[in-house]
Amino acid sequence: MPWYLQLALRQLFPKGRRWPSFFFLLSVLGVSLGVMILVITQSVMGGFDKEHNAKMIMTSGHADVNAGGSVMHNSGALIAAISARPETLAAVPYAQGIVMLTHGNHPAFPFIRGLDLSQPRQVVPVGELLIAGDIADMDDDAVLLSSRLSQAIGAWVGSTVEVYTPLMIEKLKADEVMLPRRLRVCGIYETGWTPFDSNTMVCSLPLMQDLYELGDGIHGISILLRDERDESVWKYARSLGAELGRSQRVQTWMDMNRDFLWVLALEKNMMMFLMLFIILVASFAIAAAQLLTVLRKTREIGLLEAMGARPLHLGLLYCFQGFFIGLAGTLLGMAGAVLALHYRDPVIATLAAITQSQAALEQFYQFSHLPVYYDPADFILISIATLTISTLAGLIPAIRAAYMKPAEALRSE
Amino acid sequence: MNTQGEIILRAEALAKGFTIGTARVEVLCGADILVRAGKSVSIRGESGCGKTTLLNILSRMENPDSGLLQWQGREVAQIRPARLARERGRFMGMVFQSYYLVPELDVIGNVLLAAKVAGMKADKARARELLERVGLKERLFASPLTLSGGERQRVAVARALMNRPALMLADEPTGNLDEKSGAVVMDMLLAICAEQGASLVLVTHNRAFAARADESLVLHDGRLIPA
Ligand SMILES: Nc1ncnc2c1ncn2[C@@H]1O[C@H](COP(=O)(O)OP(=O)(O)O)[C@@H](O)[C@H]1O
Ligand SMILES: [Mg+2]
Repeated sequence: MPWYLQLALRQLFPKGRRWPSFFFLLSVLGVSLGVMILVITQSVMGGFDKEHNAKMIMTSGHADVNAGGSVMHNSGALIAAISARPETLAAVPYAQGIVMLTHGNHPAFPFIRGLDLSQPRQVVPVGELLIAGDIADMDDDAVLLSSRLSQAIGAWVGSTVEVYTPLMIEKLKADEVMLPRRLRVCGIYETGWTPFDSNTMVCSLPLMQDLYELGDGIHGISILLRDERDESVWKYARSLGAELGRSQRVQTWMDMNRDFLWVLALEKNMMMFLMLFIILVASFAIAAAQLLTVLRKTREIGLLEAMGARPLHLGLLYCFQGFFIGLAGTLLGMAGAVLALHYRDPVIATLAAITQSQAALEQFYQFSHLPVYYDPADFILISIATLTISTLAGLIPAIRAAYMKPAEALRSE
Repeated sequence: MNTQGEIILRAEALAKGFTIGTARVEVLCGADILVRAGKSVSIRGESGCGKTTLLNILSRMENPDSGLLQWQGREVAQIRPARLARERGRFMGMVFQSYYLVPELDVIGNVLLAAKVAGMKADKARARELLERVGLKERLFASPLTLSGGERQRVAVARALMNRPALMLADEPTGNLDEKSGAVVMDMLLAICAEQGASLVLVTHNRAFAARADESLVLHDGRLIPA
């Protein structure tokens, strides 16, 4: 081993002492905190992404065939054709709209979707999402309410609710008698996805067709695929779109949620930008600690030069220390991040209890617990960035060491 | 004056001045020195008269404003800057008033470092032999921080001799030591340099020590004159 590597290691781990040098510990701590924060934010952001995506897919399927809001009639053949494709896992026709819902004197204007519940494989797994009631009790005179909607109007399983459709209001204008449709609440569902949980309801497709007087018409077909990788979904949408008539179109879940995904991407980029400053702060910690070492060791550098050390090797002595600090900090920071994320629930619960913000957390972040997704690419990127920056941070003192005049170095106090 | 033997070090008409603010201080003006193989030269002088500056110029850690400097007959000014540090590390050993041991290395590690830094073979047997010679056989793997001042300076002497230098430069090697350990260090320094055949330039305040060198000089008004 070249002398400068050997000496670098010895200076980090002095002989005969149980602990590495104080400066080493301090710099490693600085780097590991930076790495830890980076890994935590990236993994939590990634977790939110995954969770958001999963919820979007859960509530709308991977792809959707529709006529841009117009009613599609005689769609039996189309549904059969879609179902027959090998990539298709499920294809469920639906009709949707907005109704006025009342329970006692509590009104609400929820979004309602009628699903063909007779299909053996559903796209939206309503049965599994029920927190009360039983999907087996569903018929054409029953509805399922989202959890927040049921709270808002004070209805529960077994309650009877009244539904007014826009058509009924049209008839009212024509002085016809208007009788609301009385329906039984058969179940309450919760997805954990606030846009869906706050103000929606689900009924059978025949009931929806009846309410909106659609005959056999539907508004679209939700499709679930076997292979849910983004490329496969895009490919499926393209090939299906080529087969469809002019009036129909295929949208992927990414098309349908484009605005929301754009906001998420923006948020992640902003986070990255902010994180850059954390990397900078961490690298300052290394540079400062290294610079302190060089100042402390000025006379030692003079001595090494007096003994014949080449400036390049003196530079490497400190670059290597920077690299090693980066390495130790990266490993420690990543271990710390994984550990902190492993125990995130008790940590957040404690924080929320201290600040009494549990309710706000759930309301605004849509998830009751913090999702985490470890992306190997994040880890690789963070390691490379940290090692590069910490080695470069060692470069500043290294250059100082390399250019110091030995006589002046030895004279310095 | 001895006129026998190879000339190890020759310096003629060395001049060096420093500008501090607007004031100009001429520290050396026309200093000459000649050191032959195996011989020792002592230099005395008042504090601040330029002894350290002279040694720095002799080791070319500092450039003179003018004058001639030769190491073993080679013009030092001709040595490429990139080679200079290594040439110095092989040609001369240095001992300083404040030992300058590397605290993170053990005693033998400090001695071996001199060889490694100068790109020479790290001969453990030689390092051991030198440390035994300066009476530190039992402390080979001790940390320098656990040694007394006299012991540290003896390690520094062993380190300076590790690369079999033709010339030793010692700048007040006993300056930080009490009388007794200073005497021990001085005895060893003179004896080992003689044994190893290294010439010695010794800067000291102590008249008795200075008198033990083959030649005694005094630095006065920027010149070296016989004591
Ligand atoms: N780098 C420098 N810049 C300015 N003045 C210096 C420098 N080095 C030495 N001097 C001055 O040169 C003089 C001689 O210093 P020095 O050689 O250390 O003396 P000595 O070793 O004999 O005590 C002192 O006055 C000192 O202040
Ligand atoms: Mg001096």
